[in-house]
Amino acid sequence: MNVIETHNLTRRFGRTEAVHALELAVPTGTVCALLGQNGAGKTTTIKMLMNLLVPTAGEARVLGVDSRRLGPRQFEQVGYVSENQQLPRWMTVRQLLDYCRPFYPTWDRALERQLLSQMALPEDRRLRDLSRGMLMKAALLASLSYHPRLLVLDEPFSGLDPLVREELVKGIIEVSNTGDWTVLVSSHDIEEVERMTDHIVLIDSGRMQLNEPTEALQARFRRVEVDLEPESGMPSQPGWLEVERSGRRLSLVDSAYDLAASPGRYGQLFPGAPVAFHPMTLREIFITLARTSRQNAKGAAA
Amino acid sequence: MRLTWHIVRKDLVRLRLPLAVWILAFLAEFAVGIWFLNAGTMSYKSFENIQSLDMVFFGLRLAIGYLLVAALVLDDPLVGTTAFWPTRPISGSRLMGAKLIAGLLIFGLLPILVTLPWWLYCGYGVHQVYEAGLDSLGVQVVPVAFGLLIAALVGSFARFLAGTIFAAAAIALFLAAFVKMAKTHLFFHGLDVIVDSSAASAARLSILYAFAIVGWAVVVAQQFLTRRLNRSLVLLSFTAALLGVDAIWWPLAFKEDFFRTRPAPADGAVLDDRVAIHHLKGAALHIEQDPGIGSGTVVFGNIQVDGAPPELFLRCDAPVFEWRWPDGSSAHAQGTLVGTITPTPYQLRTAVPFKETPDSVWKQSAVYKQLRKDGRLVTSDDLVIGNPTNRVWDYYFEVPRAVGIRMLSDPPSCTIDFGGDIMRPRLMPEIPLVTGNGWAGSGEGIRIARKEWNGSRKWLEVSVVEHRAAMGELFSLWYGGTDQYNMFSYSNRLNNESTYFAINRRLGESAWPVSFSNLNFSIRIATVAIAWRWFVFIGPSNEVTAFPAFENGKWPGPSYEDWFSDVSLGRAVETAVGRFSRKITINPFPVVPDQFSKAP
Repeated sequence: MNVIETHNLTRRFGRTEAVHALELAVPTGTVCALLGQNGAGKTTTIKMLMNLLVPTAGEARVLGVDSRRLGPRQFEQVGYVSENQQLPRWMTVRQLLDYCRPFYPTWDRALERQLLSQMALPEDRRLRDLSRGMLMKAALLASLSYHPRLLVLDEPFSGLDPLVREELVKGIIEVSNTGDWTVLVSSHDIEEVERMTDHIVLIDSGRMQLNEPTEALQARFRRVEVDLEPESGMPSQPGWLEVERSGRRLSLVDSAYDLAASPGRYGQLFPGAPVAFHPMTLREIFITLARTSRQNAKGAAA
Repeated sequence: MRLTWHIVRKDLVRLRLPLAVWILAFLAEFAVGIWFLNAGTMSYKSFENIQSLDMVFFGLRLAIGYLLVAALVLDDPLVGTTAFWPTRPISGSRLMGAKLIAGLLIFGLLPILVTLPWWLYCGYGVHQVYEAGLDSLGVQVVPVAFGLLIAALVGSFARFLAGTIFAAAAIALFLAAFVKMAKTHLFFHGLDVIVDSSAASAARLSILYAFAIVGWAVVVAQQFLTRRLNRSLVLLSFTAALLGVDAIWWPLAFKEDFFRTRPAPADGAVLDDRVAIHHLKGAALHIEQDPGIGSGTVVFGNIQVDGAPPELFLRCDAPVFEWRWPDGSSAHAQGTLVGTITPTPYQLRTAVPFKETPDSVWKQSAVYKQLRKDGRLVTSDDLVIGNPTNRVWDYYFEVPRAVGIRMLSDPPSCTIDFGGDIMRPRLMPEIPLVTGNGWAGSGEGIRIARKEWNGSRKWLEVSVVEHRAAMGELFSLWYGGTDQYNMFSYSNRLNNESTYFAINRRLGESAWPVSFSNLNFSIRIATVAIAWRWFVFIGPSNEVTAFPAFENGKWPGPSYEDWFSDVSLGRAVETAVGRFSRKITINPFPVVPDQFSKAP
């Protein structure tokens, strides 16, 4: 079952289309990363999912309910942390927890204490006096303590120093391992979320570029290097990206790599030529896709 | 409900500091009141300081109250996508309920609780506290409702302030445009006809209020329940358009005498048929050459009242004039009654016959009756002679120039709706004229603050502080500061207030303060009207003291120091005991240009 599903989800701001016909499915129990450059439409998508924005067209279903009808019963099971959210900064950490607790029947005091201790949050300090990292920790704490079925994190690590980022990631990984929780985390930097995601959604200019499990994604992407004869031609194949030739060296990214079939296929394309296949990190894949998308857009505009 | 109260509690904790400042503004205003009530002397300078302080504190608490609404709503903003509450298990209806409860506690209950000690200090009873509570709510409700509307449509405090300025400017522009149109030709469909009657105007006003209240409620509820700003702005614009259309167009009347439906008290006095109210001939039309913002066209004339019972006094509302022409067209205007601004008071012949009065007058005097009735305290029936209601009232009203000119050439019939309160003077308990003496009860009281002979011991200066419950009189004279020496005022009374005199029981004589010496400082603090009255007594003669002859600024007459050695201070107070309403029809209603008018 999918915790989040969107169909043709679209949002326009005047003439600008921030999100275009998004088809998204986030299965239960996954940690899904919503990736994209700044301005790609990640936050707009999440705001539509959280009923903070009304879709211009299409629909989104969250926990089986139309996002426009999300109400208290659904939000009892949703945790939402965003860098843009206006927390009640006049409250202390303790007051924030005391204020939030009664709204959630599943609030777990033991988990609250455990997280409070893990995150080393000063209970009596006002939120407005906390550093940005501490503030995000407090928001996370107030969104994890009731075991939400769905945790939505919108750029939670933006601008945080590496140590705090590490602590937060660790906290989320630990929590997501303790139950059947689904996490949707948006980021423009894949390194932040690489270790914890098992599903990747990439959007660019409001359009979805890919949507698949992390393992499958990493399995089908390879950086390929071929040493060619000087006068040999350069074939073209579907799924090849960033094809470059420098002297005898042909370099490309194969987005349709198949462990069983691809070596043989390359052997046929480049008989006798040495071919090297290099696994790619998610970051490298993300950059490749982003660059390709930008080149395609330029080409289309031209 | 538990969660609703949880939000209420959060808001109260959040606002505790501004609430404390707000309460301090209340307390500071009451401190000013206590100072004003208990001071030993009062000068212009002191009063100006007190009045300034009171205005500052009063303005401060209104302003803080207005900002408090914003703080209450904007802690959980209804606009924008970054608020904390929409992604928590808090529904819009629950949030609205919580904010309404917090608003009622803050703007309803809290001011009453804070003000209660002040009301009790001033002697209010349960009923007066109830009425004063409603009065306090009335003072708060408009700025609070306005603030709530603006706060519901913005997402931040800065935008709230900007929205306030924008809305205030829009309302001011609308009112200015409306007044200008109303004074020129807006209501004159066909140039020379006002299509709406006064009853239609009343209906229009009622609909205006109804639209405003319903529109306000719908927009606020819509914002809380759906947070769809665009839809709310459309609703607000629709409401504003309805208000505008109603204000300039609504032609139908619900019923006649819409303004005159205030019921008389069950035991109220009535005017019987002996009272005749009629219009004197010779209404005049004055036409300004350069009218400025208004039409510059004014009709003025006189209404005479005869036969009013001497024990009663009529306090008249602004009369409403309605003209009809044979072709079915009509027009109306609300006039101003000059007599209601500076009415000549009833003349009291209090307790004392004048030695020089003729015997026939003496036989009618209160003291004569009192002596004859074996010491019975005089009643107001005994006191009043020469009712000034039986007099000519001057009126004027402004009409559009087209209507004024048509009146000249084509006299219409005219109906004057003339009504108001029936007042009865009543005597209050006498107080020995000694500094520090006083009287208090039922939410009112007086205190003799000062009694002092002048240097030549020719006249006695007396300062009296009085207070009373003054509900619904925020903008009345009681709030109005000073009433300085007034040579044209015939008595020491303020409108609807006390008239003082000195009574010498031993000699069976009385004395009036000299008319020009009356000086009043008045102020209203949380429904308690407080006035400092300063007046001068010279001697036991009305004739002497009404217009004493001064030479070189000094009263050359004898000193009555001994006469004042053992006197008490008497006081008569007018109380509304009923309503009256009369309609006079004049057909035709001839108007002639006055000598200053230019030919149209």
